[in-house]
Amino acid sequence: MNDTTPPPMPAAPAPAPAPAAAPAAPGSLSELLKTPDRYSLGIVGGGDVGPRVALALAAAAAGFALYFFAAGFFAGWRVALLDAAKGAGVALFAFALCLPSLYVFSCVSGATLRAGQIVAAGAACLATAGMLLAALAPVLWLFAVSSSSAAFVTALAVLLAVPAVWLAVRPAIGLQTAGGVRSTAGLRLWLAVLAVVALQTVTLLRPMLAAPEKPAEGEAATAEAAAPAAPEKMFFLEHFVRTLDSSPARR
Amino acid sequence: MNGEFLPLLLLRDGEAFRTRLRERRVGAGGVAQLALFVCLACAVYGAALAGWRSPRLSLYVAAKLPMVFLGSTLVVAACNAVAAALLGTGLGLRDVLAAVFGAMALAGWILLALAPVALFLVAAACPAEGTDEVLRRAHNAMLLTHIAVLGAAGLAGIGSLWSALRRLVPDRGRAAALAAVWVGAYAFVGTQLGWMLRPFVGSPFYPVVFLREDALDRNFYEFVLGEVVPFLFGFE
Repeated sequence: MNDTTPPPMPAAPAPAPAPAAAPAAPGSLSELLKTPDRYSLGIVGGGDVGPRVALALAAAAAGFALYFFAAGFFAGWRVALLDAAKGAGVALFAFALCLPSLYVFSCVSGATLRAGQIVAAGAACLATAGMLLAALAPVLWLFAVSSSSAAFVTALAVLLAVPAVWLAVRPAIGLQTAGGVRSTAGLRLWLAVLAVVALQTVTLLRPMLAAPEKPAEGEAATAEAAAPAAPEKMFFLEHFVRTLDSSPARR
Repeated sequence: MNGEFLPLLLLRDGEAFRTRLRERRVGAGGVAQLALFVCLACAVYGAALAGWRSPRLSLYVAAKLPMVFLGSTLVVAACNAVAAALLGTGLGLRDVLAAVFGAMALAGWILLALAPVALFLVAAACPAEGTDEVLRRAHNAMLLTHIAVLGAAGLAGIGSLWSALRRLVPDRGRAAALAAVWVGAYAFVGTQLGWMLRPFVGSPFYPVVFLREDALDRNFYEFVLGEVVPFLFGFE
């Protein structure tokens, strides 16, 4: 040190601490989306899981409804409204049908939870998928209203749903961290089964991007002819390929 | 047994089940429980499996699928016990049956869990009538679906068998050899029993029968070597 050394600068005042973000309410959708680990810890912690299940299923139904609503705009708002109802139905029906596999696959993965807790975990996965689909709905809507090819909108809808299903496993990972299951393999497999059932249900409820076919005026004389014709039974993969091949234009 | 239903214990707490196996606390009653559960699960899935073709075939397959699973296990039981003895594992016939039926019971849980999904696919995706092309596609799709489900159940069962053998046989190499022998023998016999008892999915181009007329005419391996291999490789 010599005399030319400038005197030390006065210490700058310490910056005020940033206000801490308010933690999401336990069991809320915000917690599920932002901190799935904490959400899953709440499931493992016990207590009444009924409100969690109800909220998660409502969120899933709403998210799916919004996604299908957006896709349905390809054929106009009437079809969009119909598709919204179908979307909610797809989510809830697929979940109900896959409840036995949810329980068994979780147990095989070393779940130490009660049946209600396992259902809550599955509902959390579905709700995560639903919220992600809802977030992607505006993108789908933009293309649905500005495309002329049903094949393109179908492919886009499936493509956008892939990350939603992929990320739906986050609550399951949280469940593993919280010690609720030994491995997430069972829940991952369950999500795959759920996706297959959901896709098949969509195929069953088609058309999604067009108004249901009405009988011709001359055919409406009998009650049978007046009822909309049941769609041909087919696997969802075959339907998907046919949709991509035929590519009907907007109605 | 403490009045506990072993298949449920196996599902809910596999570790406790394997501890019982290791401590030789699965008696004849426990083995019977596991075997009955396997029959029930296979019957339920079997009914779903053939549901697209006709209710009669559904009933037939509900009876035949348990016969394949149970029959294969019983046919190879002695062979499995001898292999266990030859490898110096110290496992008796009851241990063998308990381990094998435990693995099959886990596979049975998978089948039970997926039976509603299979039924839904049958109801929603498979037309019972239509052109030959439509029926052929439906049959092939159902066949692939059921192969995937049964394959998944089989893999879960093999995983469970391996976990059980690791507890029962301290030496890893011997456990692996025993598992290979057991799975190999089961697959070899099970394939033939399944071949004899066909149809399962039910081809739309053949009548619904309990057993085909040519069930005992030749075995599965003769069919593969006599028809499939020459077809694939162009042999005369």
